Amino acid sequence: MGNAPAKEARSPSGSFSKDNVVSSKSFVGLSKRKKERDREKRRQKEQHMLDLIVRYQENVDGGYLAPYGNYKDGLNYKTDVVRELIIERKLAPFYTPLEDFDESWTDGELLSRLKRLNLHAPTTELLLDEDEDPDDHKIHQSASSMRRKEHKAFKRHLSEMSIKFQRDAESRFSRDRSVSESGIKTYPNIPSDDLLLTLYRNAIECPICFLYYPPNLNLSRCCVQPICTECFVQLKRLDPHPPHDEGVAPNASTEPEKLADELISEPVNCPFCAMSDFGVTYSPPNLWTGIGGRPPRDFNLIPQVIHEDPNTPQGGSRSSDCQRKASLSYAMTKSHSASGTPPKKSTCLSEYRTNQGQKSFEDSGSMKSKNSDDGFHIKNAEGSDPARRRRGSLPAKAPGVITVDLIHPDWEQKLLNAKSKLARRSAAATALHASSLIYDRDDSHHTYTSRFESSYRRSDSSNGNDHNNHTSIEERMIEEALKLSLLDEEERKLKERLKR
Amino acid sequence: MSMILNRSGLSGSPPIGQLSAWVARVRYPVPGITAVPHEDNLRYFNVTIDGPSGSPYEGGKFKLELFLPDDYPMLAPKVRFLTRIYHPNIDRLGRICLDVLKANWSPALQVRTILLSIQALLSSPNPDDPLANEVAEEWKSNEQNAIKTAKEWTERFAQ
Repeated sequence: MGNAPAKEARSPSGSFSKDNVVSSKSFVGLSKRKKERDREKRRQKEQHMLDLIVRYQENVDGGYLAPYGNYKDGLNYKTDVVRELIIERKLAPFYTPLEDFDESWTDGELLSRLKRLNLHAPTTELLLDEDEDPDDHKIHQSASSMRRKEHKAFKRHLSEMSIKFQRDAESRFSRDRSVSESGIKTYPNIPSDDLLLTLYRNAIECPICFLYYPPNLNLSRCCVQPICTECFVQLKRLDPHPPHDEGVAPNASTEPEKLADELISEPVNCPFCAMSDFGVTYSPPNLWTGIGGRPPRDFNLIPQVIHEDPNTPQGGSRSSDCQRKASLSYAMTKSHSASGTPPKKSTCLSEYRTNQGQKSFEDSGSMKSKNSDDGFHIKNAEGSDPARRRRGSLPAKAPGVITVDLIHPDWEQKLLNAKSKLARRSAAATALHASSLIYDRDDSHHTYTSRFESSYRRSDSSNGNDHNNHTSIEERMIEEALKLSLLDEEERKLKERLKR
Repeated sequence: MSMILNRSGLSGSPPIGQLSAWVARVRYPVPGITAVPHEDNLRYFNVTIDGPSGSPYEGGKFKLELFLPDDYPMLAPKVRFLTRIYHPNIDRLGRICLDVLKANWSPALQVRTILLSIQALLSSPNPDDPLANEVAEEWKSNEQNAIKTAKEWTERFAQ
């Protein structure tokens, strides 16, 4: 109660001093490394938080690079990967959802609704559990208790920052939008009415969250069902678990070491048709606004401007290179100004451009069909778009398929951690068991022998006589200790390998 | 209804845009099934399911509770019988053994579908995948007697 960690606002560098005191005696080098690792982890978490802020300057085809906030949890997908995929038009951007939609709305009605939308769902202060730490009433607090508090304080700090940044982004958006609306001044990243109407005129419902989005949603690779990006990033593998069907192998060993090996982590099934290894494809609408295109303010439906030359294979990238570059760098530099971090995606630009050439070539087929007379009506996913209907089921490895594992690559690490944790726990339990036997020895000699024998029956049956037992227990404990350290080492190596 | 769709009614609970959409869907009427959200917690529903005709549960009105966890719809809703019921796949605590509530849950399934599945489970008990072992044994060894007990329980508890 008295220890309100939120107010202390410790600096990251000082945060693990307690830990260091504990470990500094013999592992100075180690603790330094650990400190560095912790700092790196925090940096990554901060970046992750910043990546989840919706900023209106960061837009692609009328959508954004961060989710609207329908789900308050489960946002631990790889934000850098998803942002890049959206910029490359390989995944639908995060569009702002409409709670309801009626085809009979006039353009004016639709527009007035669209113009009232926020960038992000209303945020409230994070309700972190204010549970007391078990060590709160002790005179000496353990290092792990300090650590837990640090962690909590950091989490609260992150949540406060994210709320603040989102609020800033929001007020900036509404200010710029109303200034644009009044006609005093225009902002290139405030979307034109034409763009808004083009996007939302034929809005469709995401079958998972029941909210309405522009019809260019992602499509499941297997059964071609629409799914919005916000729902898609929520999907991830379940935590590592023992195989479900106990019935299939009832004689499966109960030995903990083997249990660890049996832990599995299965790819996500398609929510619609249950096909394993879920993935989506995305065909971008022919809009090219925002990052990698022209400013969304300048989007209009005058056919000559839009279809300069529908027959060129470069169908999608009609705005001049120079203009695109300018708007791209504009968006890039602006995007991180709030956070104070430098724009880190310098690679993105070149990559994006090579990609765009490719993509527009790939898409030229479907583009052409859309480029016919009436131009900019994005086709409904279930509708008559021949390109979409013709597309059958695609394998998970097909080019253009974005799988769940691609944006949640940490499952391998998680499985590994769970396995080594379980193995370590069982080894520790065995060691504990063995040591308790030593104390037992004097008074309950015989029972201990039998217990010992039964638990180590595998290799110890030859060790019948009492004299040898004590030494063999010690040997075994040493063995266990060796095993533990080997496990740790193995884990460390694998971690390094995964990090590459 | 307007209270439900009004997001300000969620004061105190975290902002979840779709909650209203989901709640509206849960309330979508199905014959023989009702689901009413609690006033103070929109994630929590009082559910009733009518015993399907032709089953030993016919004529009974079974109360259940349904809860949409924070991870919904990525995780299945939690459903439990409040009314006692004699059924091989429903235990004494009202827990239900149904694949779509566990391994076969999909975010594209709606609560409506789940409630319909539970109603279907009442029509076709599956003693080969039991949760209440004794009931399942009885069902397999003496089905007539089991059905009789189920009818008695329905009259006793589910009126």
